[in-house]
Amino acid sequence: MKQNTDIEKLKYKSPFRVPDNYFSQLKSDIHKQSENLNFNSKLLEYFNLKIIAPVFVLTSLSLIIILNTIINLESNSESFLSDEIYVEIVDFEIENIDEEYLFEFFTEEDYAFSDEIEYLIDNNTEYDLIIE
Amino acid sequence: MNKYTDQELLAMFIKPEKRNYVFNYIINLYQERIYWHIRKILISHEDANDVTQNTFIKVFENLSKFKGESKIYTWIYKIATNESLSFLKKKKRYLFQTLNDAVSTSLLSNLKSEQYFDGNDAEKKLQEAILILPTKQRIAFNMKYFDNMKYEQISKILGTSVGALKANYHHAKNKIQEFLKEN
Repeated sequence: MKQNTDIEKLKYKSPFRVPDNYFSQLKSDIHKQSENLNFNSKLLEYFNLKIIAPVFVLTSLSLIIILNTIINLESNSESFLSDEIYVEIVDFEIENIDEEYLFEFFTEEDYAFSDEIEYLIDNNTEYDLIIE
Repeated sequence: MNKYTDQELLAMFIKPEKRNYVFNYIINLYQERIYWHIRKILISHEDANDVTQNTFIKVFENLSKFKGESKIYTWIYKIATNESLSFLKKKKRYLFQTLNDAVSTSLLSNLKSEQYFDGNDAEKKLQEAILILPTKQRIAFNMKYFDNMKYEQISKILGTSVGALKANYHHAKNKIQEFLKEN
């Protein structure tokens, strides 16, 4: 059977339909979902804050402690001298030491003894007589 | 007629106390048009119902980020189209067929079993003919033929040039008429 197939002239309408009161139901279903979404996002926000805040504080503290340790280690390592340099410095100090300055570090007894030696030297006393 | 402009709606939606009011207003304004747009793509009422709800949930989630570069109406249509296409793609994966074969097979089966279908034989035949079109061509054809939308509007929603849409519509119309002649 030949039929008119010019669809522009036939002006068909959409043949679909929906259940009764469907659009009121659809609206309420969408609202329910959006309310759930609102509640879930608030819940998520709350828990996120509860979890993220302590984690953030702990991480920051750990970072501060680690950084502080690294900085301290670096500054200490600068003051550490190698053995060779230390020996050189001590030798230099010994060579250039002021004898007067050394006396300050002797104990009183040592001091008395050195006075005696000085006295004996001044009076040409023989050393053998002093040291037995 | 719209009580508010798009800019007014966007400004109100940012305020938490007005959020639900604006969303409700948008649902009232667009739910039917969006549902019918999706229904023509997916054929099944159940599928269209799910995708319409997802579309409006996406609108709710993203309206605050919408910059108003297009009209809200166009933006919602875009979301609805994308959601429908994603739904069909998921079905394609399930059916392990090429997109068009899968869509045609699945939608033809939906059409045959659809309880919410009021059309006569000629209208049913037309729907079968429309289902042989590639998905995007079918969407554009439906928007022009059934919704009588302007090419400029369709172009903004589908991101296709007006020229291409006109050519597509002409091509789709010929294919459908050929199908109707043969069947």
